[in-house]
Amino acid sequence: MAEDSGRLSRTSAVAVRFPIIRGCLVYAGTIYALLIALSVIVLLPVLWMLSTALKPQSQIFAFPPVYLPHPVLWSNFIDALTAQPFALYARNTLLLVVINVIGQVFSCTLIAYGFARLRFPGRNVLFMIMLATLLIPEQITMIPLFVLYRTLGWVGTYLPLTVPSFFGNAFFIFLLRQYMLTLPYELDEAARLDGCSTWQILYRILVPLCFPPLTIIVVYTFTGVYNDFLGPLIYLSDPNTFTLAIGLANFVGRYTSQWNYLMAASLVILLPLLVTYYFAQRHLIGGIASFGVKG
Amino acid sequence: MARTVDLARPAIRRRRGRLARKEMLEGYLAISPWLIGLLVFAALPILASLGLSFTDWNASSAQAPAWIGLRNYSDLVNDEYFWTALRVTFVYALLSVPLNLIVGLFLSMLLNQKLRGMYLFRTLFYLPSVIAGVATATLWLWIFNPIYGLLNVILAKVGIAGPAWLSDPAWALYAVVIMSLWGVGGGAVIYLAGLQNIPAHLYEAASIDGAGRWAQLRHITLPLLSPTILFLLVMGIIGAFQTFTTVYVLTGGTGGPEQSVLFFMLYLYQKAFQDFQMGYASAMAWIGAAIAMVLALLVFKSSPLWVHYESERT
Amino acid sequence: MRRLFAVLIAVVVVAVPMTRSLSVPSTATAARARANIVTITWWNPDIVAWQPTYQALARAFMKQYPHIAVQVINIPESGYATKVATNIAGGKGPDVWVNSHTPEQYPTSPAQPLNSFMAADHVNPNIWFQPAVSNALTYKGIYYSVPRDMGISALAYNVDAFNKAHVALPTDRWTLMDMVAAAKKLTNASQHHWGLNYEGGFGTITDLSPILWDFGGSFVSDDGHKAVGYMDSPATIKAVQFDWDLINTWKVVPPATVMGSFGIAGSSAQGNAFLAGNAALDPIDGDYAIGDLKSASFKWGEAIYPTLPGHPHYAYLYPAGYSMWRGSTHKKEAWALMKFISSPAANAIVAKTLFWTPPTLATWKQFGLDKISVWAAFWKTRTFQTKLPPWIAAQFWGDCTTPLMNLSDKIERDVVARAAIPAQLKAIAQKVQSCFDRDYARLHR
Repeated sequence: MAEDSGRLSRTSAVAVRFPIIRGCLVYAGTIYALLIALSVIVLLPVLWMLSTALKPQSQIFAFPPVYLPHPVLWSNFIDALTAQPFALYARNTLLLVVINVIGQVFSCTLIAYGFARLRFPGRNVLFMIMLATLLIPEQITMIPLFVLYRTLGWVGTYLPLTVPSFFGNAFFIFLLRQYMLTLPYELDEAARLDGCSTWQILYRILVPLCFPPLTIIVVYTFTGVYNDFLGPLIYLSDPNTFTLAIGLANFVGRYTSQWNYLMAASLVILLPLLVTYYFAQRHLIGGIASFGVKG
Repeated sequence: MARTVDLARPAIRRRRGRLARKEMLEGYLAISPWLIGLLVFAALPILASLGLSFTDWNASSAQAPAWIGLRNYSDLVNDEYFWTALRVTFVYALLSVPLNLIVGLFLSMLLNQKLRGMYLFRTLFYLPSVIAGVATATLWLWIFNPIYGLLNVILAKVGIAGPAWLSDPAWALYAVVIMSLWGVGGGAVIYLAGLQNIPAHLYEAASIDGAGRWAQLRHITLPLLSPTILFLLVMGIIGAFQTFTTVYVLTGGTGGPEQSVLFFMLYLYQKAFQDFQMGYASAMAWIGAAIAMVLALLVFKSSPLWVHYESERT
Repeated sequence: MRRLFAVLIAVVVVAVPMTRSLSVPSTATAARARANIVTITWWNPDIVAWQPTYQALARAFMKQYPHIAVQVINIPESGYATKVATNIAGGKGPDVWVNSHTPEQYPTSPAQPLNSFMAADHVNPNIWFQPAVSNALTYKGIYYSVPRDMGISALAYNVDAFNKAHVALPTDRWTLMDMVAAAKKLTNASQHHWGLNYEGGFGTITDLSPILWDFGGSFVSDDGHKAVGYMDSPATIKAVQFDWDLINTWKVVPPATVMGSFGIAGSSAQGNAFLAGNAALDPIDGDYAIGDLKSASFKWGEAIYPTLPGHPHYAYLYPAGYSMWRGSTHKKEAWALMKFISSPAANAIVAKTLFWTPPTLATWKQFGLDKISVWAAFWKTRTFQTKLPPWIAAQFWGDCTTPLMNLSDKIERDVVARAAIPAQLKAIAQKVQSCFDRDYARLHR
């Protein structure tokens, strides 16, 4: 750093910018300090998860609580992950995740485009109806929906857990519509003058610009399907088709619970989600940088 | 910006009749997956739940629903716990939605800096929102432990005797609000997407004009983020009405001491799957949906006053 | 974007055949299909650790009935009620499932009446060793369930804690006041030691122990229809004041704020302060607690639950019952399984793991459980008179008793005076009664 500033001070132009650099350092330092302080708050509970995961059953409810487990039982991780066929559950869950992600990305893009960029009678009313469907809690529609899927012969298969994703999700459509509304309409008009069709505008012009919200849709769908407990619980009855969320819930009972196993398995299962997000956001930044089209 | 386009509009307008029809068809085609999904998968169950709200039906019995007209709705008006549940949910929404909006915005602006290691920080803050509900809630049970919990231990260090949190009806709801803030990273991720869409040259131009950070926030960031804020506000209101798993685990499904955290969905769940009064629960769901819808509509009606879209086409 | 899609499609292409290979029946299943084997489903709500016992039961059954394949399906407890209600109401229920209806609800429930099956197979219900087992599973003489287990309460004690405090161990001749006296000596709140474990919602006097009945009180009438005259009776008031004294006068139980540390309310809270070594005495429920007690880090024993001097002993008992879905298409096979899992043969398998207390007399004798000291308390309790727990007896218990639970909360937080309890209970009884009446009126419309 000292070497740098020595080199920079040789030119007068840089001498002017020097206070700004120092300002930047102070600024960056403040940002880092804030982020690290907040990270500690976020991480402490996770560390507690880890500590629980490494405890023998007898220390979990020790009072006063045991913060550092002794002995440290790394074997809990092995026991937790072998207590149930987690590899099988992971495979099942992954399949559901991938199909849902494809379904949501494809359908939500198209539907949000209709609501954000195309004009047709009843658009706003339909949009409000779509939002309204978010308000009816699933606990109430669960039984009628089950009857519907049973009539279709879908109960016991993955169809109730995958097919609906190809018909869009109100939350994601709303998110994507809001984002598309922030993109200047000149883009569409210019593309149209260049001879692009309505669909070419969507897939050539808008979709590349919508990478940030699409990334969110991918990540949220991943998380949602991964953690979905009620859906698989209700529609699946063959243990070979069960998912990770069901496996996790199996550690918790009304009379006995294996909290150490629950936390150990939760932590392991968390990793794919975090890795997905880490890489998804890199992709997101890349998407922005490579398309420098700004209004 | 929009004005330059207007100059080109007359030429377009001439072809409007034919184009408008084409655009209409294409519009319907674009939203057709949702329309089909609505008619095939959503409409029937939703209408069925509306129908059930006029019946008395024990979902665990082998008996068919019995029509009782508006009885469920009139019973709800006289149900003190229904009003308690509404009050709890409203107070929670009033506290947690604005807090999450503000803290989320602040956090996302921190995370939007072009500094080394940001990917890592973003992943870290996103972490709480991906931990499954049950694990999160068990964690917080310990944090709120009145004697040994992290929170009260820290408060004691600065000389404050912390409350009994979840065991105290006066504090339980605040505990849930605090817990909701831990998951603020989920909202920050959405803000981030919006922030990254704001062209850097706007800030550069503003700082050349001598605008400070506060002015930049007020005149550039907030207006351009307003569609995202609208989204998070509406989803926050809906989310408050659907808060369930965390309070279910935190209170063992009871709604806390003296119903202090009896959230709307928790009470609905108790009625539907503990008392199996499916008709009553359905009526409750429809009232809840109506209230949330009115709130969402109010937000939308107010949106032209504060939401700024780049492409206003009505 | 295109690259992203390419990756996703590649994953599907790889993942789909993988999963398909899972759903292709294995050779064994295929062979069974050829041999006309009937598959029945059996739903349970217990945690992973208990599954080997269920699997062992299913294997033993299939050995005996080679033409029936049993699919043991473990449904996480947290979603059990939702799954059962949704699937049964939606027309795709299990053949056999752990059912918990109030006897009064049986005739209108999806549970198949079993008397004709029992008569045809000469099944004698007297093999189940407490009349209350039959009471919980029948309505007007018709069986709707068979018992999996028989949870009886007893008083568990931490031998090490007693020895350390130089307090004499509990005996079967103890009275409730002996229990309180010992608990006082064993309590040292500053050291986080308490005499007696505590369960909220009046659980300490009703849910796990018969204290309320010992006092001569009860929250509801035996048929579950009446609260007035029961919830506010002098005997009930005395029992509730006893609960108040445990918390606020004698202070021998962990305070409500501390109890939260021993687990989540409603899930595994039971026995945790005891298991953690912080409470020296604990009302335990045989079938659920034994599995946990085996992991205790201290020496423990059990005595029968004490009562008041001169009062009769009550047993606190509740069995988990298996029912057959009325809509089952394999009722004959489902009955075969039910008959088996409640038989001494199946109980013998359970007796080896002892995750729950076997309900048949023969099993107790066969394995000498009556002679093993930690089990003897349950055995002695078998002859005591008993009733159905209030939350089973009253079908609208959950819907109507919130005011009663609130009183319990207030007592725990010491915000209601002891002298105010009679008036409070009187008002609560009225409130609960009007809720009962309203719910029954709906039912008979």
